[in-house]
Amino acid sequence: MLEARSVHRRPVWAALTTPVGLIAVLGVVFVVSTLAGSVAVRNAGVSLLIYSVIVIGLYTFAGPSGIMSFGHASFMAVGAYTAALLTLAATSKSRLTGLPDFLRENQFTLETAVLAGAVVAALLALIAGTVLMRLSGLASGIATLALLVVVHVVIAQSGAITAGPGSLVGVPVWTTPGVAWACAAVAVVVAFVFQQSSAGLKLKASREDQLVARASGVRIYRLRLLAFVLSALIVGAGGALFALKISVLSPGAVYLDVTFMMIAMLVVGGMRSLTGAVVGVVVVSVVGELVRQFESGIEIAGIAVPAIPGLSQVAIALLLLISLVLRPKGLTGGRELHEIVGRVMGARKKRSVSDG
Amino acid sequence: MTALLEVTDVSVQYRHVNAVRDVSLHVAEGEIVTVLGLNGAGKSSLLGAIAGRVPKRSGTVVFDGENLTRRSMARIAGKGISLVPEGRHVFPRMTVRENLRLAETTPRGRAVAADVRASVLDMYPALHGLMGRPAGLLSGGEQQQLAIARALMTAPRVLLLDEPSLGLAPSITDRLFETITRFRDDGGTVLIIEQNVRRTLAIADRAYVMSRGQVVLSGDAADVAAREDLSSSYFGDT
Amino acid sequence: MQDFLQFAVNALAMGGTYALVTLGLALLFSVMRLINFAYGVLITAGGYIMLLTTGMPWILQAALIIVGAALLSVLMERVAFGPIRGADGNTLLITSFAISYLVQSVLFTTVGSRPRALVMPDFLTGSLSLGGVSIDRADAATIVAVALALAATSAILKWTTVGLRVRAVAEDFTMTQLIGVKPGPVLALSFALSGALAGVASLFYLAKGALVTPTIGNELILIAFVAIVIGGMGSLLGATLGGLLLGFLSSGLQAVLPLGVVQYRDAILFGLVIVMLLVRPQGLVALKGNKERV
Repeated sequence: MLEARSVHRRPVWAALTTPVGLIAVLGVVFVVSTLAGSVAVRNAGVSLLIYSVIVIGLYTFAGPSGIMSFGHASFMAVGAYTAALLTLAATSKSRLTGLPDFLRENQFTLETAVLAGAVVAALLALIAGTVLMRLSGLASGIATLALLVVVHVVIAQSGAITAGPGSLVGVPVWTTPGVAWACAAVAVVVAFVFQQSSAGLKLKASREDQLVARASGVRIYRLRLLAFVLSALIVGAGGALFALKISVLSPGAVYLDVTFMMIAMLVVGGMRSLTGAVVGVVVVSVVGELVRQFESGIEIAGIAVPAIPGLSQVAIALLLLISLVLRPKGLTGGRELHEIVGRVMGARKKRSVSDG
Repeated sequence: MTALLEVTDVSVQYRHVNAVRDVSLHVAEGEIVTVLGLNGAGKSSLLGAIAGRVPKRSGTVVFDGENLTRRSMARIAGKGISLVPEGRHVFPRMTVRENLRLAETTPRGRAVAADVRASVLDMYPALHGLMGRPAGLLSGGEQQQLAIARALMTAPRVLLLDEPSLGLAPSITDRLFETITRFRDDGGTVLIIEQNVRRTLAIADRAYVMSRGQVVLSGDAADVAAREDLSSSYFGDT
Repeated sequence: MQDFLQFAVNALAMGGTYALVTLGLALLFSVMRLINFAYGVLITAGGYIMLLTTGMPWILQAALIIVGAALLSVLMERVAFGPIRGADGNTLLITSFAISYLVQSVLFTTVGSRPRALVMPDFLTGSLSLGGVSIDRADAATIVAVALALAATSAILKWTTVGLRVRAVAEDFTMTQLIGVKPGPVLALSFALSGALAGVASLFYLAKGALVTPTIGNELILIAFVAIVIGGMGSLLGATLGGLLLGFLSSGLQAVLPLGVVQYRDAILFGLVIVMLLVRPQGLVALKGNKERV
């Protein structure tokens, strides 16, 4: 049963505050990255925007269905490798004999790479999802983890195509803050439209009431599959952007570490809302960056604090743990931006009424 | 005389359903009190709330002067309130002996003298030959006997019984009610939910009738049995 | 024949190690419905304890590792899993993932990600001759240790009072509390026992490669995941058999698969997990009335 939300009637367009607001927030990151003098800030900004695409993608499935997927990094991997292989200069990939000639001898554009990455990931999701979406609860969690491992092993062992387990070197760095922001904006729109659509709403309803879900089994399966494929589309695009930023791609770069990151971001922000996804990305990224400043050692009041590499990972892990124990619903508690704003407005109105 | 068990204004809520609404009841030491009502009236939730099995939204439970409202299940059991839930809940893969032994090893169970344990087992001769058998393989009646014997191994002061006769043959039910009265005769107190209205009212001292989460009728068992509008209370027309 | 015997011993040793870890995981699952991804941390920790205690007699090292893993496991329960005990399966899984990551990052920060070599005692290196067949000493020792550990665990569960309580909690947690059994000590013991099993497993698993890194426990955990799904999550026996089976399956596939396919062995094994979850989610060893509610 859906909780009763606002008592007052709000205009229909109020809900649009959410996607607009989120795109604006990400826009701030874009602006900061573009104007920033230091490469580090620019890179951090691009990284944040790429992760927002990925986590929004993860949310598109996990949020409405209520099922956390541990295997979404496999879509990121597929998207990344597709994009990398397409955009590598012909000379760099001549040794990849497993590739069809048409791919090996040509270098493709950014747009093609991102689109292709998204589509191939979606195809994988369609195949895997046909099987996986029949499962619920813990079984689906383990199954998605199994998917992650399967894809990882296949990528790592198909050296003739992927250069695995070694690295693909020389992927062009074409992901600019603008490109990343544009993709993030599209991701926000797609995710928002889906969750407001009848399919998305039906899926959410099934999440709330397990009995209803079981009774209408076939419909739920199809809805979940739709969400799964759509989310893979987005995450695949994110993976493509990722490859076109880090330039050196190895199987380990799109495996457990990124899985942890995307889950941490979504859980900290709040798994049940799109706003939660974006908030999670921003909070975790900022915390990570701040702590990273300490990693190379700093001086506080004349005392030298020694270099502690990897401290940001510790900080993020702690953040996730604290979040799980103290605030399992995440910072947003499953609420969207327009609802949070609405609450704040409502509180202010109450205060002014009682004052006046 | 203050009651041994005093339940005041207890409410239990699951999600959006009010299973129990401001229910009060009391049980004096040595009484057999029964709670009657249709399925879904809230009887099981009430018993569960007393035993600490379900969280209470409001209300208090006081046992022998001590406030047990916020205590955990294990603590409440340790004080001497033993709930035998609906469905018997024996440990199916463990033997009969192991089921009993589990109760014997609790703090309360360890304090029970050997001859008291023996006398409990004497009440259930059917279990003697089944000691080595996995409890899941016992018949419904045997499992019920095991469940109650197990509860009695901790020498409880109050037995909370939730539909003990459910699914049992009449002859077994006879033995069951004998056991209950025997427990009371030995100094115990019983709060029992039953579908078998006439039989239960025959051995009970007092009765409460619940409908839709509230107590709609209460009084001496004989009076309640005689009430002509008992069936209408049952079906919640009031 | 000789080759087969060597293969069998090797597979049995590997399967035995998997069995220990899978059993440890199953213990935790049975009392808490938790699939503990952080279990791998205990194995990694075993390796670093061994590193820290280089030079000590092996028996002492072994004792420290087993006790250390048990204590670490209990600590995890006290600090992280205890407070969120009632949560659903996936929240618990994510939490275990988080703990795993936390410890890994701390290790990475403090001791670095470089693989460190472990010094193995003589009796675990080289091979010995048994009836004309040469087998690895490490394998032989593993098999003996696994057998002892399984026997000890079985004895604890069957013959001791706490073991009785653990089994009861695994079957019906609520009912044990209604009888008056306090959950705290039972959970602590389950975690301690499962930790000790991880300690024993790490002793021999690490003997093979004689290396330790911050993530070395993960590989074993992922295998245990496969084994527990195949063997049966709700059953301790099933989990143990699942581990053994996986040892043989893994070695068997390695030996039997043709050259173009063999490198995908792990992908095949994990694909098998998905198939099992679809077809027979309760695992191979389905016990009466144990349709696992995943």
